Parts: sequence; C-alpha cells; structure tokens
Amino acid sequence: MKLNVIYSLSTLPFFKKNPNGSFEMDKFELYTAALSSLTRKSKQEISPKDGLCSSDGRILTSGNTTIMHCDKRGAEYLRAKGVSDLWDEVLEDIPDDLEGINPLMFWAAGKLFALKNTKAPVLMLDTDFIAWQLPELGSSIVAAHREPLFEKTYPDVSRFQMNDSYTFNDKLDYTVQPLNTAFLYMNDDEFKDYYVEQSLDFMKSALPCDDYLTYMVYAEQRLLALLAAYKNIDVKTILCYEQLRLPQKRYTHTWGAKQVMRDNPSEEERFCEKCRNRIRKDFPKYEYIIDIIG
Amino acid sequence: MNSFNWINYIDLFYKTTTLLNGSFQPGLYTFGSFNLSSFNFYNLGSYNLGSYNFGSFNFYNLGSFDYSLQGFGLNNCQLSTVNCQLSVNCQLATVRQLPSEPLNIFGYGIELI
Repeated sequence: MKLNVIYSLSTLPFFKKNPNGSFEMDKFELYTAALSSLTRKSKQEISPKDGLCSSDGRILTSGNTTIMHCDKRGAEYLRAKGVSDLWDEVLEDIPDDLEGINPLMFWAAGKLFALKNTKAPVLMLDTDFIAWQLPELGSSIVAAHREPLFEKTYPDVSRFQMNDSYTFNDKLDYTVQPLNTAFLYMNDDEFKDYYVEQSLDFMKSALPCDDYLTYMVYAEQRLLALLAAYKNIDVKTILCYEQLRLPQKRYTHTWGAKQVMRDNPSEEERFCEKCRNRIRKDFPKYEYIIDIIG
Repeated sequence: MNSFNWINYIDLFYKTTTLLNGSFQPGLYTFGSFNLSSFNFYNLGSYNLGSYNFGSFNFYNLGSFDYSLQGFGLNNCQLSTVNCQLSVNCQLATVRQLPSEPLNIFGYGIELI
C-alpha cells in the first residue's frame, strides 16, 4: 500500500495582501520544506519494524510518494526557483481562486484542497514540519497533537458570523479538543472527503471579517476533531500538547520559531546553517539546492 | 515569597529586551500587575505562560510544564485579573539544562536538524 505524503502551497493569500508583489518563500521555509520532503522520500523501503502500518493491519511497504500541491503561481515559483525536484511530483491542482474562499481569513485553505485531491492513505505535512521517523499509524486519523480549547483561539461557535444558509450541527460535542494538523494521517477516504466537504462549506459560508485566526483553526483543526468524534472515528496523536517542548527525537516543527527567524536574521542564519549541514550530510544528491536557496 | 516588577521588561511582539542579569533563587515569585490595555499577548486566552532567558525575554503561550533554558524557568503560571489588572504568578522551575536551542521555545524538535 502506497502512502501519499502531501504538502501544499497556495499563493493567493500572499497576492491578496500584496497584489503587485513577487512571491518568495523565506530561506528557512525552503530548507524545512526540503528536509521534510527529503526525509520522507528517502524512506523508500518501509519495514514492519518501522512500525508503519495502517489501522487495518496493512503494511505500507511500497515507499512514499511526496507530492506538493500548488496553485498555478505556486508551482511556477517552485519550478522557476529550481527546487521542484525536492518532491516526487509538483501538481497544479489547488484552485487559483480557492473557489471564492476568503484567502486572508482562510490562509490555509489550500491544505483542504490538497487533501481533497489525494486518495487515502494520506499523510499531510506542513512544510515546516519534519517527521524524522514515522509513528505507528494505527488509527484512522493520526494528528500532531490536541490543542486546549483556548477561548481566544477557539471561541464558542456562536461568535462566528455565517451566511443565512449555514447552520452549526448541534449534535457535535463542542467540548472535544481540536487537533493540530501540522501532521495529519488519514486512511479513510469516506471520512476524509466528509471532513473536507464540511470544512470547505464552513469557509465558503463565513461572512468576511478581519479575524485571521479563529475561523481558520475552526475550519481546519476543530472541525476535524468534532467530526471524528461525531462519526466515532478513532484518533491518535503523535505528541502531547503539555509535553511539546520536552526532548524527543522524532519530529521537528518550526511553528512560532518562523516569526522569530523573520524578526531576527542571526537566528535565521544559524538555523539555515544547520539545515545546510544536514542536507550535505544526509542528502548529498540534493546539495545543489543550497546554492539555490542560499 | 519574592517579587519584582517586570512590567518594563517585557515586549510581546517578538521583540526582545534584557531582563534580569541576577540569579533567581528557588521559590515562588509573584510578578507585578500591569494594565491589560498596554499589552497584546500573542494568542493569549486563558493560557499558561512560561518564560525563558537567553539574554532576552519574551512571554508566549508556552504551556504549563516545567520549562527552563540556560539558567531558569517558570512554571505553574497562572493568570488572574483584578480590576482590569492582569497578574501572572509563576513558580520558579527547578534549574536544569534542556537542549540549548532558543527556537525550540516557539517550535519543537529544532535541535534535531
């Protein structure tokens, strides 16, 4: 059984904010994207010993395919940059207009389209997430970790301004903690499609506003957990929220450190140098990207 | 019980300012209050706060677990508001050495690269 490892790049949020801008990923973003994909691509043979099996016991042995799903300008950027070989495939299948979804409110909507366009079993990774080792994928859903229901991040759904045709499902258990989807494995196409449909429906039904956090994380992270609980889908996480920053050896997620690096060139350079060294050491075939990225 | 006024030392927009150069002693530190309107915490809800110090000092939503880097850490932080004043109370964590990687405070596993 082949595991599709997918990433996404939607440039519409950038161009909405910068209509005449020139899209460019930060150096550290390119390096983490590179290491994330190369780490997964390199695992061409996966043995049961690695613990990689689906929830129904199938062993995923035929290697990974890493796919970067993009909109047109995203794919053009990666090709022009000369880094498209980092993924097995670069697809132009994210709608350039995100089907009318507000790109500022729903800056990660591209992930949902990538998921929509991929058959299970699928592992969706953020480009700032590196899975040095894969966990045992023994559930229908495996996510990064739960997130507490912080009011500022996950307000009561009554706070959302939606169009008249949208109604919140009162059968959902709104006490269920959201799932962080920087790492998201799904092996059930039916549920995956249901989640994507519900998420996109929420995004398309939200009235425009300048809240760029709570709507997005509801559509992507909270809804996933709510719907999984509603459908009795088994869920596991690879990390515990309370222990995220304690030492472990399997996962890197730059997460909020990205902003630190944007604000602090010396931190960025220090980080990038580590990435360069890792690429030279573990992926010498791709050393050429160091000259490209810088 | 120890206390100091840290109002002037924090900046919550990823900017850094120098905090204390002195050493902490184990014990419960009660930080001063500050006016909520003066600050905009990053993602602050009912978050527990942690802290770190590598020559500079920021507050973020770091979770409630024991956290320490390069010298000291604060845990069991609790927020409370009284008369529109926000109080942050933390307990000094046991001093210990975690992987010395400042960026790990904002992400995780960065030392693995």
